[in-house]
Amino acid sequence: MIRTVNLSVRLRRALAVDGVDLDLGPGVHGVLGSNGAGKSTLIRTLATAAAPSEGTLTLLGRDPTIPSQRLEIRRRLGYLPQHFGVYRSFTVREFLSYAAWLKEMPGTTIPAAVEEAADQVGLADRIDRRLRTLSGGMKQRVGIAQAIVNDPELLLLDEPTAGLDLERRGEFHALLRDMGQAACVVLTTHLLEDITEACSTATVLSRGRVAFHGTVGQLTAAGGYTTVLRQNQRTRPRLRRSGMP
Amino acid sequence: MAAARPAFWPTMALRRLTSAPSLRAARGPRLPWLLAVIAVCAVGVWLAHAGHSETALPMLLAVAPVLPLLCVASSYGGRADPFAEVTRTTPAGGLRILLIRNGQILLICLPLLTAMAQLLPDNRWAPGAATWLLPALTLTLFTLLASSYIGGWPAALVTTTGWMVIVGAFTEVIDKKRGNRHKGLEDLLPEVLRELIGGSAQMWWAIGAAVLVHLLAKRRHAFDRAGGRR
Repeated sequence: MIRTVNLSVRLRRALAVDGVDLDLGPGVHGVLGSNGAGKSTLIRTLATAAAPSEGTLTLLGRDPTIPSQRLEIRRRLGYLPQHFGVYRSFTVREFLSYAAWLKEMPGTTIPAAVEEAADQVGLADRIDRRLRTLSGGMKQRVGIAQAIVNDPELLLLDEPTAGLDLERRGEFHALLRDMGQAACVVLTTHLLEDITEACSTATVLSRGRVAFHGTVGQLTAAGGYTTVLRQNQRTRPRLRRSGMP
Repeated sequence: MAAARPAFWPTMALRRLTSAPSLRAARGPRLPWLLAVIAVCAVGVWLAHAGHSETALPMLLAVAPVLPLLCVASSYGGRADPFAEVTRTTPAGGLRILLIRNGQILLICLPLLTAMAQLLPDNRWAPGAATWLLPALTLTLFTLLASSYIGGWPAALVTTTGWMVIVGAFTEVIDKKRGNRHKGLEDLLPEVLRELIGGSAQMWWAIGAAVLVHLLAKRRHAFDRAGGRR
């Protein structure tokens, strides 16, 4: 479902993602890494919000550089960025309807899909509340709901559990596991709990490169996230910049 | 059981049109924005009448073609839309949403500015009050096309500056034609506007609009490409 070969993404002069090779199928895949490791840039690139500077990217068997195929990918995509804003005067229902409209869902299916998405994130009883009246955690759940409203085949979530309380986090892990049965779900996180509770594979990014990729069991056997990261930082030179060897 | 009262369909259609989230997802056409635009127009009309200014209408006609596109840029630039990051990864988030939003602004600005032009003190030498409509449409289309290369705000600024430079250059040329017998703006501007947007110039604006629609259709994928500008 996701295939990257030597994928690099440049942010101004620095390489934020540097030669990443990934081959991810259905399931829930976690991406770990410290601040500035390139997690968000990788997710943005997979979501077709940012363009790769080098390498090839194939999503759902399609090439996002071809306009018609890019549209096909986007119809089947769900994306939650790390920072996103909402239209504060909208109700939850209106906001999710708008997201569904943007994703070109057939008009007749939108009302039911909106109610289902709101229900999945535990906002069914607040569906007609205005977004400005919701707490930060609830807005995060609205963000998750807009990402899943079209029942995506490719779901990309950038730190989705930020702002969720413990109870909601548990429910969210169950939702991810359920969605991962058929779809390819990629989430970035700082919480090891997200990886152990919801993910089938884990990828550790360090300075834009893949430091580890394997199952969660393999990550634990390798000494865990911090050990992998420490070993990688010891063996790797500083971040490569444009024009430098 | 009483039969349900049949709804008056134009009212329903209008309500549905104006309440559609796709149209409401905009910073621009909200009540405070609308009130501000109306207030600016009203103050302009009042000042023109109070000062018995004959240049008010030509001045309005000179700036009116670029007013809608400045409204578009300020209302819908990437930073003005809080949901832009997600919108740009959706199939409808490219040229389609941009055209809907532009249409929305034009639908508000065009009648408002036309009405304002009708209310201004009459200037018998200026072209008709509605003559700026086609230039406004053409310049908006040009801005959209330019925005696919350089982004919304820079495109609006380039178009506005370009239009002002053209108006200034025409003023200079006409002044020279008259042997530099400079009598002030109220004397020159109506003639400049007659050359630029009045009468036979309208045909060229229409041709320009048609060409720009064609080019925009050809560039439509530039609006939804990964990492594309807004």
